[in-house]
Amino acid sequence: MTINAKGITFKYQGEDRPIFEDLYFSMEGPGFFSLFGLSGTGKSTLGRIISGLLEPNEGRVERSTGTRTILYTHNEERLPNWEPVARHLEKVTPRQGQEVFLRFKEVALSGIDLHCRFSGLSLGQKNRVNFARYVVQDFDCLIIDETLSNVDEPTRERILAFLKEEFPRRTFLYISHHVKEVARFSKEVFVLPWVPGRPIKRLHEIMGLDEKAPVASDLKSLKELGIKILRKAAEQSIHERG
Amino acid sequence: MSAVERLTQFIFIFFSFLALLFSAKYALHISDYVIPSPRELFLELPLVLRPYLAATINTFLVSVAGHLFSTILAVCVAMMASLKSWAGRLAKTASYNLQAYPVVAVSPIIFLFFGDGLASRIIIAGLICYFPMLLSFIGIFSMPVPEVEHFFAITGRLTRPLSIKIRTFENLEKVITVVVGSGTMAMVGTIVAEFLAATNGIGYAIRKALYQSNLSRILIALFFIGLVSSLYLAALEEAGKWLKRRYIGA
Repeated sequence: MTINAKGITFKYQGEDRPIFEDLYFSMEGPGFFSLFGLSGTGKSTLGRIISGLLEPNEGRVERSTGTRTILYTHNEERLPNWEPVARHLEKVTPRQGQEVFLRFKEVALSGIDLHCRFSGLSLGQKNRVNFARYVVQDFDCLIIDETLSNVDEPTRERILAFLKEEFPRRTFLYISHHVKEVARFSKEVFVLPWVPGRPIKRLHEIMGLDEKAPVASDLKSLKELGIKILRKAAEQSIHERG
Repeated sequence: MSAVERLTQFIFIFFSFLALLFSAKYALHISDYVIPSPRELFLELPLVLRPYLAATINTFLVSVAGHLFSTILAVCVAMMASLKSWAGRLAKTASYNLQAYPVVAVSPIIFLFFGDGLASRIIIAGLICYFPMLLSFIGIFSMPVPEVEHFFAITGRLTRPLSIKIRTFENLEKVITVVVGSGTMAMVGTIVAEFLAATNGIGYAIRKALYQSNLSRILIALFFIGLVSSLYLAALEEAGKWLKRRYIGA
C-alpha cells in the first residue's frame, strides 16, 4: 500500500501559526516505518491526518487502491472499566484475529491478570492490553503513536519484533522518541522539520547513509547512532530556525 | 455517609430546631395555640403515630416511583437533547423553556387531567426532581470521552448507545451524586402534590393538620418525613457506593 500526503497545510484552531505548511510525505508499504522529530513538530498531528481523524486545511492524503483500513492508536487510550479486560478483549477480537491474539498474548501479555479491570493495571500493562486490541484487527496500516511508551524496553522490543514477523504484508508507522528503536526496527525513518514549510527528510538522507541499507546496518552500535541522530536533528533545527 | 450517621445528624438537627422553637415560645410568651407545649406534643404522638407512619411510607413509595420516573424521563430527554441534530436542539430548548414554569403552577393541569390520585403525585414528584438530573445528563451525554471512545470510533464500532454508556460510566460519580441529590427533591415533590390536591400521604395529613391549626401534628409529620428521607438518601448513597466499587473501583 502507498500513502501520499500532498501539500498538507494544517493549523489548530486558535493557533497563530500552522503546524504544517505545504507538506509532502510518501510512504510505500508494506513494512515498518517511523516518524521521528522533536517535541511539538507535529508527529501525532500527521499521524491523525493520515488516519483521517483530522482534516487538513489544505492538501489531501491519497491512499493506493485497495487500502481499506488505517488505524491510529495512542498512549492515552483507556479500556472501558465496566468489564474485566479479558471480556473486553474477547468482545473486540474478530474471529480471524483470535489466533493472532493468542500469539500476542504469549509475547506481550504474560504476567498480566486479564480478569481484573483496566483501572487495576499498571501503566505499562495498560499500554500492552490497549495495543493488543489493535493488533487483532483487520488493518492495512497501523499508526502507533507512543502507544507503548510506558512499556519496559525488552518487552517493547519483543512486541516490535513480533509485529515485523507476524505481519510482513502490513504497514506500520511508528511514532516514538526512542531513537534506538526507531533506527533498529524501521525500514525508513522520516524526520519531521522543526519549521513549518520545510520538507520531511528521510533519515538516510540526513545521515548520508546508503539508500538500500537498513538504517542501523553500517554503524557499530545503536547507541552511537542514537547520539548522531539527536545531534543531526538538533543541528537541523538550529539551521532551520535560522 | 452511613445510615446511622445520617439518622444521628437528622435527629440532632430536628431536636435542635424543637429546642429553638420552645425557647422562643417561652422567651416570648407565645400561646399554646400558636406553638404547642412539649407536653401537648407528647400527648398527640400516640394518637397519630400509626396513621402518620403509614402516610409517610405511602409518600415514600410514591416518591421512589416519581424518582424512578424522573430519572428515566431525564435520561430519555437528555439523550435526545445531546444530539447535534435539529431535533436535539429543539428538545434542549424545549426542556429549558418548560423548566421556566413552576411545577406548582402547572399542577392544576395535571390534577385536571389525571385526578387527585397516584398518577398526579408521581408526575409532580417526577417533574420537581427531574430538571437537575436533566441538566447533568445533558452535560454528561454531550461530552465525548476520547480516551475510551477512540478505539470504538476508529474500528467502526461506536454506536450512539455505546457512546452514552461510555460517557455514563466515565461520569458515574457525577451521575450518582445527582441521582442521590434528587432523591430529596422527589420526596419534596410528592409532599407538594399531596399538599396541593391529593387525598393520601403525609402531605395530605399536613394539609389537614394545617386546617385544624394543629402544629403538634405538623411537627410530628415533619419528624417522620425527615426520618424516611434520611433513610432513603442513605440507601441511595449505599447503592451508589456499591456501583462505584463495582464499576470504577472507587
